[in-house]
Amino acid sequence: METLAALAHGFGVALTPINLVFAFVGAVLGTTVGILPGVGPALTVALLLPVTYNLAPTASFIMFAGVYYGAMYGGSTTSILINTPGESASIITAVEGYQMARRGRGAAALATAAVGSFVAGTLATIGLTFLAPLLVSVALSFGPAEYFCLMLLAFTTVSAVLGESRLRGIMSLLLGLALGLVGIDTQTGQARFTFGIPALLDGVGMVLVVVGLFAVGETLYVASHESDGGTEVAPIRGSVWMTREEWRRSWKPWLRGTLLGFPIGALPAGGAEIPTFLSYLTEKRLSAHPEEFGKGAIEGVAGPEAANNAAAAGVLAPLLTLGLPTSATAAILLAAFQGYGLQPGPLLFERSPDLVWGVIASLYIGNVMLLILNLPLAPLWVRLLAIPRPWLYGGIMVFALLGAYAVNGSTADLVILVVIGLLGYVMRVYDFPVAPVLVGMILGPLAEQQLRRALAISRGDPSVFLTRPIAAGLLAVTAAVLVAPALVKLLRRGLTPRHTPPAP
Amino acid sequence: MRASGGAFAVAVGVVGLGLFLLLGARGIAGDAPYAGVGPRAFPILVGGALVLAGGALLLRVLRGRAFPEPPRAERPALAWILSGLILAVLLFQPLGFAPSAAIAFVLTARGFGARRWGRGLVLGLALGLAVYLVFSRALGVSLPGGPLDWR
Repeated sequence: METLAALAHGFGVALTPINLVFAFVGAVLGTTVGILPGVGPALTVALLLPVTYNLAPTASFIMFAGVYYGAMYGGSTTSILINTPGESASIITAVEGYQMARRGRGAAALATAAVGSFVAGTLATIGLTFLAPLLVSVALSFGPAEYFCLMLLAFTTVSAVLGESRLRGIMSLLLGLALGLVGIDTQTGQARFTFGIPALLDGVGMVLVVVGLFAVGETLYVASHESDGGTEVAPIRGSVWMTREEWRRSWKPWLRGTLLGFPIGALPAGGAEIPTFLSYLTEKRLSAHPEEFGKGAIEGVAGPEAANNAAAAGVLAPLLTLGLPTSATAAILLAAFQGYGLQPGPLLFERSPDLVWGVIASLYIGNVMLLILNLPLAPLWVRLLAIPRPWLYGGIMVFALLGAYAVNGSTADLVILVVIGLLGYVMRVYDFPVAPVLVGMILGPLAEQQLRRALAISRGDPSVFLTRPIAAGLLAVTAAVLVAPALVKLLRRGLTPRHTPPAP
Repeated sequence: MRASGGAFAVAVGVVGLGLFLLLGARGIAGDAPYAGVGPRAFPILVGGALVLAGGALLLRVLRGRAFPEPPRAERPALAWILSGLILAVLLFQPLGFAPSAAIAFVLTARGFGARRWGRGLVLGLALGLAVYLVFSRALGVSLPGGPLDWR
């Protein structure tokens, strides 16, 4: 009941005209960047940050939440119509959705994606509403030792579970941790790795890194490796309204996708890629028409799209209640909180209930806005896909310059932008994941702080991490995550006849 | 070894970054005030892990088991875009936001194969000007106006 009262209060905040306007602006921006290839929610929030420091935090975060959810809706449109996923969680949607569009059922694919996103987004937001207070009550008992172990677990899952290669994930994470070291040590006031440059005392800016990696690095990569990316837009054919048959085949995948997406998103493992993939496999197995998969099965769009949106909501649970980001967008959102002098965690719910519950309530409202924006207006949004790539990426560069300069008004930051952009390019070429860099960079200093606090409290005795049950449990899970894949591989090697292992 | 030259360079870079952190950590003054961990420990931890990870990759490269070499990059596209960025950074203060944004726009577009310079320049200038006016005049972000710095 307490939760419902808090939520009702949140609606009071979110339904004020000014906050509704910000939710709407966020939803429109989010849909736009979701549709445009090359721009994602993390980059958009990074670019908006310098502008929003003049706004109240509640208004900014309501807008960011709109961008975050909106990009999930918009991303599916791009996947379905041009087979280019707007963001990584839409890769699976592109598989079946594009086939549907080519077979003249594009409208139905867009509809099941939009309605599925709405159903899953709303159910998962309900899940978030009730899970968050539970997590807060658990988190209140956490001390530095528990927080450190939790962050260790997040580091491990973000870098070692996601992505193709664990070694590359770990290297990305370490790079992020190294970037996070730059600046003044919070405990002793020592400057570290600043090379005597005053601008580096505050650390390397998160905005700079996000813009460098996502805008500059991505642009360099696309220009030099995907120059033939002819964007053939499949025309939307068929009615926007799904037939009875299509509804019948969609609703169960929506619910199953939600059930997969929300919990996996809410785990410190985070990310939307795994649940979308699992949902696809599940639907393929359960479908009455498995032969249609790969040729445009509606279940293969409905399930993964629902999973993708549910996971996006799930990721917000550890972010808001524990201050634990598990995706690139969550990392930049955490940086945004810090920019306002706020630290997400259990105390945020006590100190800023207006902000937290206002944002959660705005997620419900945003979902309704997004359904209306995306379903009947899809043909309008599709026009964005007609922007020629040279102009699109030229525009991205203009905004990259703007975002990098606007944070501190310093030309030195532009130089750093180019350097990080080159780094991002190399990472993209060799398929290094980007999210671990951002998570490591933002969480690294916090983890160090908790580690040092924990050890100061225990007078240097490292056994605190083993004698406190929650901390020890988290460490055990971390170890399991690290060891499990190797174990599975060993078992498989024992069971199947010897063959040369594929290159890692 | 030709096949994995890039992976080799990446591995060397990672080891180098790790060594850099380890060396840099020596220069950080101030030990832990009392039993506990000082400002030096975390850099050493991260640096050491980087050296290990880079070493592991190096080992894989030497065994010929590193990740597959990516397809060759189109160098001219890279050159166009990078030169656009570098010019824009150099000219940012003297020319102001809109013109330098236009330069980055036009050269990036060229990197993507656009050959209509005039059209690109007009579009880039229009976009740069619009962004300048909206962000600098309306949203209070400070941007160098160059010749536009009227009051």
